[in-house]
Amino acid sequence: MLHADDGLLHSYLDGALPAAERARLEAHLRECAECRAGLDAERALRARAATLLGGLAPPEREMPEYARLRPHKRRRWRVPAAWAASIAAAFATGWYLQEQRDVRRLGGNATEIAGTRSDAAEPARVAQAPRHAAPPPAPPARALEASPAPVLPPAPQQPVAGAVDAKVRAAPPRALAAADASLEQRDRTSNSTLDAAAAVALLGRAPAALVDRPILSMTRISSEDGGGVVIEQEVGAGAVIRLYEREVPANRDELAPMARAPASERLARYLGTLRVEIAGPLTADSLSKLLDLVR
Amino acid sequence: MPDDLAEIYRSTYRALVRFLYRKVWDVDRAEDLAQEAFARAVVHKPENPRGWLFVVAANMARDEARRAARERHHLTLLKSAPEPSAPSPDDAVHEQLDRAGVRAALDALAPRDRDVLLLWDAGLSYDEIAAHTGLARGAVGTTLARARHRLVEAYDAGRGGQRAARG
Repeated sequence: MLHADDGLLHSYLDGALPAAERARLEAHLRECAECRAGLDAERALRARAATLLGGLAPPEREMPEYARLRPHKRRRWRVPAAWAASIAAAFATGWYLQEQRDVRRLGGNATEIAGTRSDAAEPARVAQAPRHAAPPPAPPARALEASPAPVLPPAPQQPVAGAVDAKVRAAPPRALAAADASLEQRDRTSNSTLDAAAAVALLGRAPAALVDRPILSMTRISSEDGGGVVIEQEVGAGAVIRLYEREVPANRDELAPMARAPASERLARYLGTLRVEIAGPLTADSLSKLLDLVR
Repeated sequence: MPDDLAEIYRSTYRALVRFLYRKVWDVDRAEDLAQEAFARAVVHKPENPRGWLFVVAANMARDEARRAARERHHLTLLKSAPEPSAPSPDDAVHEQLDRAGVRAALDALAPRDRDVLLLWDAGLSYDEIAAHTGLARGAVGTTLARARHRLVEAYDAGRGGQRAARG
């Protein structure tokens, strides 16, 4: 056979040669001093490489229990890095997602429109607009296109549509996204706005928030929704995040779920005696980083 | 099978952390990524969990490195540098080893050579390495031989440079 190349010798040293090849190589080695020398050299080199690599072992730490592994474990981010990334993410996605949210809000209204359209299409209502034929019932998507902003000016050439829109705006926002619900609630009950002292009384400690970011509002969460405080903060580019904070009972299992928004949509973190959840028009990744920055 | 995975976890976790550490050079991140990889394996139930774990971990480490590079870029913009990760305490056995030199030598390898070397070091077989790097099985030995040679050469060259600089 030809002289053994490095690859073959390393395979041999690694014990990775199939039996037949191994036998052939060993037969050759018995006859070829050059390859025996080569094998010794490669053996030394292989050991040297292993020693070098072995010196780069991380310090050994305790293994977490297998049963405690959970997917999507939040990573530990260094604060400045996380901050930079979050701001960048806010700038990059803030406007886009704000738009998305508006569309969603409209989507909710569109459902209302679809729901009220049957009333509007009653002959008596249509008769109020005698010079126009009754518009066909618009599908929600059509209604979306027709209403680019949540507050539409009355459209005189389509009095029926205008009437429906006014009705929608007066109606309670049943179909709003869950995350917006508590904001709506605040709008309806302005007396739930808190000052710092009241927040401390509710939480048993000073509320946590993103340092250096303006607090836009602080609101009480009604006890039927689990109690606590909602803080709104602007994180850049018009993106506003909400922090839902509650004092944690001694037994965490007793912590009532917040009814107003499905907890699965929010990232949560325990901060001393506080449970802090975050929501906002950012990716989960950005929210996670921001949550790590809450102090 | 979750039981199999639990067994693989016990036998492979440390190797996976070591593998990741040599890519991200940060114990905390290496552990986080290793745990994340196992957590994903629990969900995905891959057929060959061990090889799968290393490939997923390698991909995560690569994404992590890219993200770290982006963050460094943002940080320069914000003029607040991250704290450098503390060097791990030297193992007494390797006291005289120039860790920074080895690390530089390892980082200087071609990505595929480095991956194959680290996968072998993590305990994967030639077959597993071949299956998960796309190399022909016969090419694994050649790649390993080249990677070992270059690692040692780059390390010695770095040391030689240092000696020359001192002398």
